Amino acid sequence: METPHTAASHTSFKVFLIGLAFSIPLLLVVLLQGNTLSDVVYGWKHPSAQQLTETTEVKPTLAEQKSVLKKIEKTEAELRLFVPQKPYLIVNTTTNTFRLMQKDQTIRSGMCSTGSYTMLKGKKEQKWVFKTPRGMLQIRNKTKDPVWKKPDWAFIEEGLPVPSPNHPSRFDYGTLGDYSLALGDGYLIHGTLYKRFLGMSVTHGCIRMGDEDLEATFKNLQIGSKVYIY
Amino acid sequence: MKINQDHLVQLLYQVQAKAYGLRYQLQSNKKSRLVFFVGLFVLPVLMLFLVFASASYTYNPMSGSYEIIQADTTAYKVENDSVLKKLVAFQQLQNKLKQKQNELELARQDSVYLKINLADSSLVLGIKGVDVHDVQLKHIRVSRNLNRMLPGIRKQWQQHIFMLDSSVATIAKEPIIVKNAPDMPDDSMPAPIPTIHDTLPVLYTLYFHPSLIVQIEQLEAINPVHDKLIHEYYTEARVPIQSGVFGKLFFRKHKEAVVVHMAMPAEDAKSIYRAIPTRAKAILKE
Repeated sequence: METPHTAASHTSFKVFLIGLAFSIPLLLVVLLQGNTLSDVVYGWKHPSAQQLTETTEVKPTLAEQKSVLKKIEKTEAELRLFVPQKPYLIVNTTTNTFRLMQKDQTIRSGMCSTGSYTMLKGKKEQKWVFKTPRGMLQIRNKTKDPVWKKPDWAFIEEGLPVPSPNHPSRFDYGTLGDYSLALGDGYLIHGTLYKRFLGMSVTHGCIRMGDEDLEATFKNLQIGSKVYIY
Repeated sequence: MKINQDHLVQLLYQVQAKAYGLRYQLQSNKKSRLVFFVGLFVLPVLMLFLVFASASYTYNPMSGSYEIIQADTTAYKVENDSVLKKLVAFQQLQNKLKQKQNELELARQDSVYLKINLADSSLVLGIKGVDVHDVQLKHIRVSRNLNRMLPGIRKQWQQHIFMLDSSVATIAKEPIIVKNAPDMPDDSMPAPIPTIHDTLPVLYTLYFHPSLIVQIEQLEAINPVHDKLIHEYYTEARVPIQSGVFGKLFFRKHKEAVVVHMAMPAEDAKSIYRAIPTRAKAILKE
């Protein structure tokens, strides 16, 4: 038989369960959707005109609007001046691809090879990192039938003794292809004997191209032409 | 593991026993009953209060401090619409001018920089005024904090040239491989063999000053082999939860930064990450 005491405790337990049933969903809503609730209550996405006026220093007049538009046009014109009028080259060292450009039109694109990111360590604490420089460079010189004067690392890499600066063994004929375009600091755009490696990062920092691409690049780029490498 | 009916019945009995135990405790001890009931009803109310109190803070990414401004929705009326439109249009013009001026400033420096264009969902890599790499983004998300800024503060913030502070990535910035020179010609390296060092998934987070976080992830599915790497990346690069009470109360660092999340092909993502300098600059266009 149910005593009055037991009945009272049953009632309080029911209240507890009802409280729990309301509180838990409410708590979840607050925890998970707090920001949405506050957005709804405060209308964050609709700033008032008053607020906007307070934060605008000057009330716009027609003359001011025209002045701003004129300044935009002027700035855009200045920006356009940065785009070369003569053909230029864009090289992506990550995908090992190039685009030969005329203003904003691509006139030729294809694969190339760039720096391998290999660090060569010599015996006398010498170090060379074979990577292609990034940024804006310019064509410094153009050569047909170039001859490669091998630097010291070319011998050290092969385990050979380093010869004197003008020793005949330093001069290598034919490996650079038919043309080369100098970018400064010894970096060149040239041809390759390893055509199967085009599209891969395998060079000592130079940019290697296939024969036809190299010829087109050589013909289009002049001394002073821009080369953008990234 | 099989669960039979007996196990379930046993489990139900155990739950029932626990409930009766709690009930007995509440019946027998008035004090604990009072604390329990008060706690049960007060906690959600307290949570609600915290949410609305925190919502009254207006985010100012430049000062790093917060000012309490009572949000006013009553002033937003239909008759103010034309004034509002004119002001917004003028502000947009001013913004555009400032952004162009910033771009010009970046172009004048010999630098590689980023242009994040929210309006047409694109990310552009520029070098000295020339757009060398343009990625049209299929997925772009911007965190709520952008909408939380007051218009004037938002305008000032957008007009910044953002400076890269730090970054976290799954790939190396420069994937350098060390090789020792051989002693003899016979030991020399064979004809250049391409090294496949770029098979890792591409995910990175760029932390810019002031208060801009750019998260970039590859669109391609990630091989489960890299699960550990991905887990480590997310642990390190985790941007604290920015919504909800817990996020507001417990996560301090970057909690108010505007997060721009983008997904793009891995090749594009990698090209951009490898190209930008460690102190790269960026401009944000809306």
